[in-house]
Amino acid sequence: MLSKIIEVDTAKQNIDMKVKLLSLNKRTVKNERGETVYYYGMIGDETGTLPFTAWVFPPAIRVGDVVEIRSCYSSIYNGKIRIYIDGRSEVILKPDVDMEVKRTSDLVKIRDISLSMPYVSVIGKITGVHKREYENEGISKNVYQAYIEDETARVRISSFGKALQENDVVRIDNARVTQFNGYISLSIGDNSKIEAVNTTIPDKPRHIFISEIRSPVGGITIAGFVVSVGQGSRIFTKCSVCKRIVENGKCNDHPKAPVYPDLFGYFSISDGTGTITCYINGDSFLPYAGIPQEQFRRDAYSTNPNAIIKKNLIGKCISVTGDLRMQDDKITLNVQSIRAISAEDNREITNIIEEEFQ
Amino acid sequence: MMHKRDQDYWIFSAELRDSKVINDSSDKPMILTPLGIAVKRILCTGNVTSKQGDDRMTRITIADPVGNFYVVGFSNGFNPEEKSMLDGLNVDDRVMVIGKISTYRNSGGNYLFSIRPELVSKIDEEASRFWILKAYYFAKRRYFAIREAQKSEDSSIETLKESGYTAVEAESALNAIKNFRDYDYQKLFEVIEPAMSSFGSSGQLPEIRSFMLDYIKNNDLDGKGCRYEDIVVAAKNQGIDQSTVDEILNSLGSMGEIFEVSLKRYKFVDTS
Repeated sequence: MLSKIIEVDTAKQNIDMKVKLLSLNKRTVKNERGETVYYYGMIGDETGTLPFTAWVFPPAIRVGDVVEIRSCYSSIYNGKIRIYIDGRSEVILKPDVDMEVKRTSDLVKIRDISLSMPYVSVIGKITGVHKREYENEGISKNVYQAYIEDETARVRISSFGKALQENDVVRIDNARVTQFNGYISLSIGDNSKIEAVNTTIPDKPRHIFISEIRSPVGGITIAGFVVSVGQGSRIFTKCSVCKRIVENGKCNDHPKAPVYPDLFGYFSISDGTGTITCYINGDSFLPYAGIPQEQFRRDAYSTNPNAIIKKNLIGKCISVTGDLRMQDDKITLNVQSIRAISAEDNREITNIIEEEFQ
Repeated sequence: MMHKRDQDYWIFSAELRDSKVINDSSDKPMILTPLGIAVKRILCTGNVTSKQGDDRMTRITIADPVGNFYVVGFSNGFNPEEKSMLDGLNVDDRVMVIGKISTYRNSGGNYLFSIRPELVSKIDEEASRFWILKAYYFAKRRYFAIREAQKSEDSSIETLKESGYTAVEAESALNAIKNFRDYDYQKLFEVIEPAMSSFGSSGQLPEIRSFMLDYIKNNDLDGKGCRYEDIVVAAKNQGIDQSTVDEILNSLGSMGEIFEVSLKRYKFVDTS
C-alpha cells in the first residue's frame, strides 16, 4: 500500500510512496576510500513535503517528475524525518502523471537557507533593488532583483511581478530556494506571499564560525588568522564598462572603452573552528594594504602580486566580509572587504563571552 | 587521494600540558586534550620569553597568559624554513605560531609536548588579545559541553547538539568523559580563568596598572626579574591589596606586557 507523506512521522522500514520530485542535488564526498556520490533533495505529495537522501538515483528522472518509490525507509536526522533510498529501493518514473503538492515552508534565518529545503519563509530587509522589464508570451512583465538580509546573512532575491521596495522589512512565505553560479538565492513566484512586518534588522557585522557554514549565503564576516597564501595570484586587465577580463588589451564588446589592471589572489583563514579559502581582488585588497588605486594602476604590471599579498596578509589577524560561494562541492568566500582586528572587535567578543557564560 | 588538512586548534598551554597520548604504541597515536580535542596542529600566540639554539636547532618558549608553549625548529627538518623562522625572533617579540604537535616521553613516563612551526608571524596586541578571547571562548564552550554530557549516562552527539553544542564540541565532550574520567576541570579553569578576567578589571584600574608596570620596569635590580614580594610591599604602601596585585599581574601577563621569568619573578616587556 502506498504511504502518504503525512503518514511518515517516525522511523519506518519498507515504505512505498508516490511523490513528485521537487529538488535534486548531487554531492561527491572524498574520503580515504576514494569518492562516494550521493543525492539529496525534496519530495512532496498532496499532504506535504519531506527531504530525502539517495545512495543511488536513476539519472533519467528530473525535478518535476512524479515517481513511485518502493522499499525506501525513513529515519530521524538532525531532529527531522528523512526518507532514505538505498540499493534495495526502486524508483519508477510515472510519465504523464502530475501531482499537486502541498507546499510547506519553515520560517528560517537566512544563514540556514539551503538547497535541502526547496521552499522557505524568511523575515528580512530588502536592499539593492533593481527593476527590470521582460517579455513573456508577448506581455511585458517586471522582475525585481534585490537582496534580503537579516542579522545572520544576506541572499539574492528575484521577484517575478510582486514589487520589492528598498529598505522595507518583510516576511516572505513560500520563497523558492535556488542556487545560481554557486550562490544561494530566493525566487518569489505566484505561490509566494510578501507582507510588511514591524521589526528592525540590526545593521552590524554578521559573524559566523567556519564550522557553522552550511550553504553559500552572503554578507557574512569571518575573523581569524591568515594561515597560508596561494601562489597563483595574477594581475588581469579588465574592461571599464563590463568589468570582464580582456585579452590583448581590448574588450571585444567595448573596444573603445578604457581598460584597467586588477588583481586576483587567494588565501586561507583559520578561525579556530575551521579553515576557508578566500578570494580577493583589487577592490577588497588594496584599501586594506593601504595601496592607492592610482599607484596600483601605475605599477601593477611591474609588481609581483604573490609577494605583495603575502607581505600584507600572511600571519595577520583580520576580519573579512563577503559572500560564500559553492565551487566544486566546496564553499569558498569572495571577499568584499578586509580589515585588521581592532579593539572594537575584541570588546564585542568580550561582551559575547560575558553574556554567554555569566 | 585527497588529504584533508588537519584543523589547527586554538588552545591554551595549560590544556596542551595536561593532554594524553592515546594508542601511543600504534602507528597512529592521538593527542587528546582534557577538553576532548584530538589535536595534531595548534595555532597559539604569546610572547617569546627565551630563545636557545645552535646550528642544528632553535628552541623558543612562548608565554600565553597561563603558561608556556615550547617551539622547536630543526635545520634538517621536513620544512627547511622552520629553524630560520625562529632565528628571526627575539625575546619579548609578540608572535603567532601555527604548527604540528610533537611528543616526547621523559624517563618518568610523562609526555611533554612541543610545536614544530609551520608559520611564525609577529603580531600586534589586538591580535594577541583576539586569540586569548577566542581560546577562552572555545575552552569554556567545551567545558560546558562536558558538564552537560555528564548529566546523563545516555548523552550522545545528537542530544548535545540539541542542547546547542556543535558536532565538534559534542564529540569532544564524549571523548573527554571517556578518557579523562577523574580529571580536575575546576583546577584547569582556575588556571585559565584569569586570562579572561584580566581584561575586564585591568581596564578599570589604569593608575594601579601603570604604577605596577613602572615598578616592575624599574626594580629588576639583579636582572633576574622583579620579585613578587617587593611588588606586594610597594603596592601595599600605595593602598593596593594583594588580591588586586595578583589580578593585575595576571592581566599584565595576558596582555604580554610582563612575563614571569621564573617563579614569582617578573620582567617588563619592552614593545616600544
